[in-house]
Amino acid sequence: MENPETHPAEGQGGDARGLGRRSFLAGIATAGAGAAAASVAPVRAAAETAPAPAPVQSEGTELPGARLVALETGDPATEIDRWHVKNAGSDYMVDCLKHVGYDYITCMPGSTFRGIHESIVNYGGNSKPELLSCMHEEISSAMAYGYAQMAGKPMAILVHSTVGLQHASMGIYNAYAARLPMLVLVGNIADGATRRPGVEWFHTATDVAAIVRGYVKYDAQPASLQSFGEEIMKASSMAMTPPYEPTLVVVDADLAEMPVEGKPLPLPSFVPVRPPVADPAALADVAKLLVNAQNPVIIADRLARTAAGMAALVQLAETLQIPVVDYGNRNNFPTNHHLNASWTRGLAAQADVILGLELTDLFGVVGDVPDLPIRQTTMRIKPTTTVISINSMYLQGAGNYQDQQRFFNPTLPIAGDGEASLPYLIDAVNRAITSERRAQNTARAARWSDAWTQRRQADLAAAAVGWDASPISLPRLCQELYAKIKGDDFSLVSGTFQQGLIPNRLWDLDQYRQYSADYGAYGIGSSLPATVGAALAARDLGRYAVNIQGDGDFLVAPASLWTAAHHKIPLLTIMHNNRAWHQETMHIQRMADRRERNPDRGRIGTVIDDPNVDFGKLAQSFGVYGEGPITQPDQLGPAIARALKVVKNGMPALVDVVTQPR
Amino acid sequence: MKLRTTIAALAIAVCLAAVGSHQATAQTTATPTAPGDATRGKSDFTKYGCYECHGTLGQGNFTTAPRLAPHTLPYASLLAYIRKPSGVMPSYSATILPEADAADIYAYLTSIAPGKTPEQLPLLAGTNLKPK
Repeated sequence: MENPETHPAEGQGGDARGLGRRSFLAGIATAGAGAAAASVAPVRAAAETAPAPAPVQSEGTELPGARLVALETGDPATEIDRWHVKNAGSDYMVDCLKHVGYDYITCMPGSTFRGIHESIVNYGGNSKPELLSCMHEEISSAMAYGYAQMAGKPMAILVHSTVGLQHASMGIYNAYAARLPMLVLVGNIADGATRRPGVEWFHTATDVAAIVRGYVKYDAQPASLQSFGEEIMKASSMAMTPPYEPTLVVVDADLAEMPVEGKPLPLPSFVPVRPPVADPAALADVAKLLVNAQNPVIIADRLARTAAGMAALVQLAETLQIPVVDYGNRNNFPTNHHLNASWTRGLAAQADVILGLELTDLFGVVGDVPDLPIRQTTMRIKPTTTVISINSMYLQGAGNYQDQQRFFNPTLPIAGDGEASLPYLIDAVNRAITSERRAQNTARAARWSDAWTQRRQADLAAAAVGWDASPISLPRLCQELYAKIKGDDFSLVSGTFQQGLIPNRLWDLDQYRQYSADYGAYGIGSSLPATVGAALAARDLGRYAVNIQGDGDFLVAPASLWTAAHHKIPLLTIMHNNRAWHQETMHIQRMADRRERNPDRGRIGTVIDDPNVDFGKLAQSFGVYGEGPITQPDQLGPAIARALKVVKNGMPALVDVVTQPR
Repeated sequence: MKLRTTIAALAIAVCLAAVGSHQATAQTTATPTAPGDATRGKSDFTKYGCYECHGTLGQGNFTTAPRLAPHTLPYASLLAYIRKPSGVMPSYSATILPEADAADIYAYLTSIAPGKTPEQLPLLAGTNLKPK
């Protein structure tokens, strides 16, 4: 099915495409095109100024126009080919993408970028970048989000002007909030004189990047191919400089579809930017504070960008035997490490020193605003607690969006990338630690090891309650799944908060690629396509991906599964099908209770039943193996085994499981 | 596109999880002891939305609410907490949750028998208990 936004009613404004939309004869570059004219204007100018003999009129005939006369009587050697384009500008654009090293580019087709689309698949051989077909631009952007999580590098997305970018906006916003890189390429037609009347005007904006400017790190609208190349390099390096975030470059249709004239355009140099490291003197102060603390705690959020980040955090924690709370937005710390204290209550309240590493919400660590009718601020920590924050977000200003959370000024705020700074902090700790302090490590390790075991025992006891329930409990779902995959190279690519963090509590996740999830800005509908993107990256790493998928999120962009099937992406999706937007069910229930009226009506508008959605059949309709709904717990394990067999053969599969709410 | 408020969700999770620690100290001044009907209570457990946070068997979970069954608190303690919770659980006043219905819900919760222990469940029994 064609995109109705892409192919409007034919004939609007006449068939300008007889000459190619960017007709050579349609007009010279406008002043606004600026430097663009340098590379493409000569071709147009030649056509505009071609000498034409005086027309001779015969009776009953129309005089041929100057254009036709020029074409019919001109020197064949210099005659302009009205039908063909050699050395298209978009070929150079593809060279730029290859030069940076983009492996993939997602795309729902759109006419404003048809030039570069064709160049990718033909000139570029549809490899590095390979075009990934998507059925919605939100899928395109969310796939790039998930890919960046798992691959540690950006994917490019190609979106239609205005309407396409509007669709893609939420995935871009999620990536911005999650500090993930992405290169957004958006088609546009800058020159009004070459736009066909009608739809092309709707699909062009004077400043198209304005749609998403509040949540991209940088945007550019290059007016020449040379500038395009430079902007791709700049946007790519900025996206990959912490804090990572999306960047955007406009692909002007004229530049893409017109030929490159003259000498081949050079490819600008691309050298990734080294991440910012915290001030050494500040790190020395941090080391002293940690060494001298009695009850320190490390809290890590969007810290580990690579496996090296996880290893460095382990090294820092072990050097001083400091417990670590992993907020789970990156795979920062092994779940089976004795210093993993992520679920030990009250650590921040008891701590004398808190080291926050890349915290998205520092205030949320030290304080709270409970969801009560009267919103009051409460503090979790003692007034004397020393709070240290190492965060690359100090390097970025805030805009319209409030993703940087409430202000809290720590004792020692330090600007710098957490992962890049950790090795230097470890060195500083090793210089500061005394033999006396080192001697305490054995006792501290034993204390935290015991606490870890007690916590896991308590978690197991809690997981056992309701084990045979129908609808199926989330601990049962998670453990049935883990039993099937724990010996494999799997990657859990979905967030776990909605499942009570059970995988983080009960699974031994000690490899960086075993878990990669983040809710970003919590835009519902992003999770399913993000897992497809993450699964693609996992596939390239020799792994298969596992997704525990909420039903409400699924139904926003179910066609993500088609992309997974079309591109043969091994992704096992286990539905957490509670037949509701359950978070909202609880919210409306709260409102009804608070207002003392009809608590039994709190579910209206937040449940997904009558009729129930058959996710297994929905998956099948996209060419994905699907089965369910599974309502009895003893049926779950065999169903997962059947689906996993499909996934291990390189294809996606889905099992619909009717579950407890949470 | 509807965006979900992460902070609110996390606040609910953290604060409701804290309910469990407050249960033991809930006020016990009200001491109704009316026996309830477990069948009606099961229906009411859904009707009043209790299952939304505590699960259909009152099993609780790690992020939204504590376990209510098995081993349910004394009725007076539970009712006192329902009326005046100390965490962020919404209050169920007598206006919207008559005491008779509360008694039925209590009867349902106390009718839920303990299940197997982790040691009796193969998928849990093999879980690693020794950290690295």
